[in-house]
Amino acid sequence: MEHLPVTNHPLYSQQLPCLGELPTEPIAARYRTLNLAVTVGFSLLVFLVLVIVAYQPWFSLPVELEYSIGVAAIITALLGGLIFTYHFFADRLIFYTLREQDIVLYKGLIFKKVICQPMLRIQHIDIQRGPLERFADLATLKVYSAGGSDHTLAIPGLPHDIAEKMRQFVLNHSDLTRD
Amino acid sequence: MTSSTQSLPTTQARWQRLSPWSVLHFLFMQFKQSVSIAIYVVPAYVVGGHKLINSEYFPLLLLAVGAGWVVSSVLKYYFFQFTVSDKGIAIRSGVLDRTFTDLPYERIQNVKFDQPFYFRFNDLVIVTLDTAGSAKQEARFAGVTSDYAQLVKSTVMQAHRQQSAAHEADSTEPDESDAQLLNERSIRDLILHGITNNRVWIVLGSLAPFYEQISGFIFRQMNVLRPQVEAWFGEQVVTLWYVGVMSVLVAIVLLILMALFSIGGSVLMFYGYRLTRQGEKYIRRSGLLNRQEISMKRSRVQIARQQQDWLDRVLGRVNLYFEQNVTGRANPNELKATHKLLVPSVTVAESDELTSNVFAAQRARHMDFTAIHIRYLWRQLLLWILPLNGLTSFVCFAALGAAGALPALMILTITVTLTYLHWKRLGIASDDNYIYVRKGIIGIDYWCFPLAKVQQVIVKQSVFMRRRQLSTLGFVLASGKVSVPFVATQFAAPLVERVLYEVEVKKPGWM
Repeated sequence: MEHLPVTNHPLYSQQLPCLGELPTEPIAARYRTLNLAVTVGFSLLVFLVLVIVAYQPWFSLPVELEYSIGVAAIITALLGGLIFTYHFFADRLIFYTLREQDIVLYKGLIFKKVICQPMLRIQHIDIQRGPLERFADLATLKVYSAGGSDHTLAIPGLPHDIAEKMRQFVLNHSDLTRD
Repeated sequence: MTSSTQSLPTTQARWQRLSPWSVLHFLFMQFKQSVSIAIYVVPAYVVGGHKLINSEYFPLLLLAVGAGWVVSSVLKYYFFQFTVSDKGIAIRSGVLDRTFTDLPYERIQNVKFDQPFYFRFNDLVIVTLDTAGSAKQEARFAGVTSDYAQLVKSTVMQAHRQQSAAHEADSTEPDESDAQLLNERSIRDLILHGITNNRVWIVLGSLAPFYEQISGFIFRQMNVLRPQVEAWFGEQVVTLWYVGVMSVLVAIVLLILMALFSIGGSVLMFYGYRLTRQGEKYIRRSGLLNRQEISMKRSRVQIARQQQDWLDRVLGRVNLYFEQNVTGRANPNELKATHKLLVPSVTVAESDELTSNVFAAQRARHMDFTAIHIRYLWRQLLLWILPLNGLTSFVCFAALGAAGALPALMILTITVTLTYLHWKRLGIASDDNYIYVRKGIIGIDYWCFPLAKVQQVIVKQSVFMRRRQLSTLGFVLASGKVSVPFVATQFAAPLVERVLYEVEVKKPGWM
């Protein structure tokens, strides 16, 4: 991807396309792969610990504890399965559009959310990368407005270079130097 | 740090101290702190501590504590230094934990004056500088003369004006004399406010004549139920059962006391309420013991909320709130929050007029509101009301048998009616400049905010709503989010586009 993903819509109120009809870009496909792998990996780790505790040769467990290990295993399987299913379907549905005057994020599995953050109202912007994201060369772009931290627009799973470019585009935007 | 400033001749850039009287403030703060500790310490002392500490030493102990207070207050006064320069205000404070606070003028959102009772006699005030950051970054100077406080305020305002050249042309700093009185509240209004905002008090108060009958009834019921309780839980639990009911009764008494306190508090808080407009600023002064002054710039007001509860509706009153940015913290005490400017219990006409004063040509009370879709009602009923009613009915029938039908039916009727009213009230409208939202259950709330103040737009749709062309609209303002559920997409989509057009093309400021 060489160019910045900028769409260039005319801004006449009546002719503007509805937010739901804009051309969109998906986030990196490996974001989903990463999430699925992490879910599976973490669940397996928990299982491994449980198995080791249950079958280690050094001491025998009280009966109640053996029972609760079984329960823990079932809960892990259920939660893991649920999170896996969620990421499996939901991560494919995250899209974004960078327009001249705003950033639009599309997400949600059952509740579809469209969040539109005008450039003019951006207070600051940063890129967050955890160790796993760094491993996958991904980044999360966070856009803060005066609306408070509850309403931070976060675009996850962007390739790092794209995230950097987007950040630079936003920072260079003339609206950010206004009051 | 010591460079003097030409532009602000009246303020020196040297480190200076507060008035020595501020020792009183530090003393009082320590006293307050000690009282909150005493709540735990005194019972502990009464229960067991008196065996450990000989009561002969007790006066000595008190004396030592008092001396400690005085010494530390004097030290605090001595170590509190501040300077007002052309860049901002810097404060050095703390005896052991030295804190250096640097406040650039542009970060100061609000200047607030308080006059506690111990500063009344010599007319000193506490100046609180509100910043956009966290609560920890807010700065207070206790014990400066009110003239000096005014000076600090005008310095901050002046610096603000110099920064924004656009605002500079507006006007020169208006002085006290051209303050225009917008609203005053009489004691009667305040008592009304106290009553309407403490519904618990009303409910409990109206039950007062029946307390004896009620408690008699409760004890009879308890005696009737006693064999069952014994059968179910065993004998030991019966005492617990009595203790439980008794503690509920005690809790009710406490609740009454608290409600009374909060009525008193509301009168104390709003005594002598005056809302004035000084140029582009709104200033609220009120308070019986502690005079409080909150000012808010007109351009900073994000939303006007006309709130009306059922009692307000009966009495024809409205609580009017003007809100500016929350700056990352919410003060749990509505009355004291500086980001909200409350005009308590005004009449409907007054509230309409005051709202128009802030948001010119607003028509919140005269709009044709677009109702939200009836599916919202169905959803609320199916998702929350009916399952909850199922549960309560089950409990009623299990406890009372066939007679349980009565309370179950009553609860069902009430909750369904209230939900219906809630749905009926919800509505949204907009004109060229404003978006209006109508909410409420029995009383009607009107919220009004300019299109131009929107920070972010959120459109939410479930799969089912999508099929019905409905969406939940969320407008994030600097003062919080306003959301309206189940709006027809054919209304919502153009509105969203219009908001975005207004913000992104016309580029208005929100401060």
